Amino acid sequence: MKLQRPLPQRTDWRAALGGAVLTLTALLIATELDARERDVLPSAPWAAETWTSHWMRFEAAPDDQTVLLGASRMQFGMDMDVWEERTGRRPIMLAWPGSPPWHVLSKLAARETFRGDVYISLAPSFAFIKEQSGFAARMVGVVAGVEMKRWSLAYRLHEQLWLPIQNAYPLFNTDACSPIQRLREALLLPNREGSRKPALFPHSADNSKDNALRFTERGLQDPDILEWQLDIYRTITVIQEETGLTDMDALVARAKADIDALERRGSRVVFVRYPSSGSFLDVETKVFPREACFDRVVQETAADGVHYTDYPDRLGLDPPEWSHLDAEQAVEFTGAFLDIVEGLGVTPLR
Amino acid sequence: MLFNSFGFLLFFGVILAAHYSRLSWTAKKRILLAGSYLFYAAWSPPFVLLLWLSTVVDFSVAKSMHKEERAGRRKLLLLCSLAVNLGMLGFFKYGALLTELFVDVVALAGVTFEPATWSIVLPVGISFYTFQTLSYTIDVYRRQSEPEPSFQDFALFVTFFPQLVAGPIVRPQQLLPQFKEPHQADMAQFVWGAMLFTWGLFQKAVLADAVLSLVVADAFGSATPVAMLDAWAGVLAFSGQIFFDFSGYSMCAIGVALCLGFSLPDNFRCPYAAVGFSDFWRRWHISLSTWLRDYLYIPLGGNRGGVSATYRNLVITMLLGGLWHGASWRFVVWGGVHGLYLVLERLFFPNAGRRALEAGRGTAFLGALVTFFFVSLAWVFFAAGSWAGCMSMFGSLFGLHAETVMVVQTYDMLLVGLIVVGMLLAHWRFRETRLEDWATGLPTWLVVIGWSTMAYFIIATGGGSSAFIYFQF
Repeated sequence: MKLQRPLPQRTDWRAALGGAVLTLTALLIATELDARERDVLPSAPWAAETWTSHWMRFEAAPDDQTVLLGASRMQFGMDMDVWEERTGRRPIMLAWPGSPPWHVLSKLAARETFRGDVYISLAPSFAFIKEQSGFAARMVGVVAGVEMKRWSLAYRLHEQLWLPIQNAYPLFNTDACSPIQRLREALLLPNREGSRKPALFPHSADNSKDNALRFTERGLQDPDILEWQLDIYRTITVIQEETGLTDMDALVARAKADIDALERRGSRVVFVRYPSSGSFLDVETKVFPREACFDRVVQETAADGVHYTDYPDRLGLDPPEWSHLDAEQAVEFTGAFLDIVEGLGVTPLR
Repeated sequence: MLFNSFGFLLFFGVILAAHYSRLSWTAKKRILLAGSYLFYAAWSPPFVLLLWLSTVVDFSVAKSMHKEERAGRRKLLLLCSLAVNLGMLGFFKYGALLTELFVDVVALAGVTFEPATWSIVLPVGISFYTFQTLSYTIDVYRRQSEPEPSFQDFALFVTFFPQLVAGPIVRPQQLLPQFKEPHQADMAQFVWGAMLFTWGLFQKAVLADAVLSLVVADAFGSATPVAMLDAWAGVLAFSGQIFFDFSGYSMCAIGVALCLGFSLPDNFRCPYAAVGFSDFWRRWHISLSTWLRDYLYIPLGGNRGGVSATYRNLVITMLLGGLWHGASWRFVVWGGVHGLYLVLERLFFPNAGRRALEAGRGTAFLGALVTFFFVSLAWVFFAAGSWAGCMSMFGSLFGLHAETVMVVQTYDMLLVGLIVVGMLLAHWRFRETRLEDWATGLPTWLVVIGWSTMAYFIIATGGGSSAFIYFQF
């Protein structure tokens, strides 16, 4: 029963191979040139491996490394250059889009050598949503996957060889260069009246090497792209409203235990609430109100908290698409924020 | 290690360089063996121990069994192999389900039992390689084949990296003889293998991941019941996704092996062109369905014990086939539904496929569409994450919900329609034709454009970052 697979009866195998390699190379070069022409930036994909690579970077950093946690508001709204300029050290961004910060906080608390400061952005509808929501579940998977990847050769090859390539060439920015996505954005087919939009974003932002997000020019200026984004937010916030507030007693107890463990080792923890508007502000006010959520966590964990509404002149910026600050606003916010926390006696500005 | 990763390309480059070097055949096989362990360990090193255990036990058991003449001792040796292999499978794959079942059963007796949290990680591909080694031991027990004298060749048979983690499940007679003499691909095999690999990755990374999975996630992930149109889009998208994902992996495996000069059997033969459910199971996951036929259905009695015994055997085989796919009662029900389909087909439409084909291609195509419809309905048990999700989806499919939401975008709906219709037509076109025969007549320029376009789409869409669906089995 020895197997012998049949083959096409052809004689032009070399020509086919050579032709395909040359054509593919030409297509890739053309895409790279086109991407540069369109000012597309290299951007690591929104995949678990990307977050793991930043965690690994954190593990290799000194024990007193400052880290930033939260969801995408932290990634958009904290300017890493300003932070480095003001404090003399570049923090490590461990925030991740659409996720609660608690699982990463627990992982930091469990790392007994760590004694750096922790800044946590609390986007209420992600931080205080029920644990069984998809937003939390995804982050649980991402954090749990770190231990598996630690011993994985496949992951190490990805991290050491492939991520640097992705971070160097805009061609590999799949949000911007995938033909399927580009056709989607070019056609912008109208959806059925009343339909919900899935959480598939247009190419409106890029992910930098140190995990900071920045809007693309088109993401801010093209009204169709902006409306698409707002449509997604409308859908997300409807789902968040349906899912509802988590068990705050359990959440606060968990956060307090983790923060106590960190503070015993000399870490300082600061919560920050970024400005928001539109549907996000509506659901945050209605389902995840400040007193029951942000204030309670800050008070009961005895950590510091900076809420934008307490500093309207300095932090009260208006996000261009309801949820995230643009690059200029991030510079302004970071400077003001560092001034405020310095006033609280938290960040040792150098 | 995933086929759709940069790491695999590097790994395969090294393997190819060694395989096409001037080393001896024995040395090349050792490199293939070491490479296969590395391929598996790249995901999680400790689980290589399970592969070793399975290899050592089955090699030793088969050898002893062959020498042994006493029936009782031979049976005992077979039981030893079954206990080790199925024990591993049971512990890692079904431990949580069995614990849950135990809790429910003792609860019926009024006892509350709180088990420790089950946090065992499922070793990737365990269902595939255990079935592969079991077929070896059972064949030797039945004296249908001789035990393999070379431990190295046997170990390579168990771990051969192209098909180790998601099949095809290869029989010893298909692969072991290929290790006996030097194998290298000639130019035709190498290039055709590379084309099949590209075609497999395109199915997985582009069709399954970049397009269809989004619609499946929207339709099956909605907390609120979805509208009828969205439900059908979701179910059809899943029918496409699971085919392209699994057929894509099998195609990659066949292509990679062919680049090294080895032949692996087909695992799919245009299953959505099947006319009737018996025909479907001759075309879907062929290596598993033939395994179940040879090592379960026929030993149970097959169709030799009369009509009711045949139906019973069919249903048992399909139920266990369902359970093979995962530790969830939903998989068992999925198997049961297919068992029921097969029984009903035998009861009311015996030889339906042959009769439909005799009646003309139009009738047969209609028969294929009806089969696809019922197969797609059964996929709901696969795709939904819970019983509530299944019920909600069935309610949506048949318009039973008063309030629904529309979740699928127009663009995605069109893509799903395009891909599913294209898939059905392609399956019908290639129902009786081999890809190799079709490719024989293509002009060079078309091959170049088709191949490079597929490769371009794989790279430009990110190559697909999610694992193959069938890895979980």
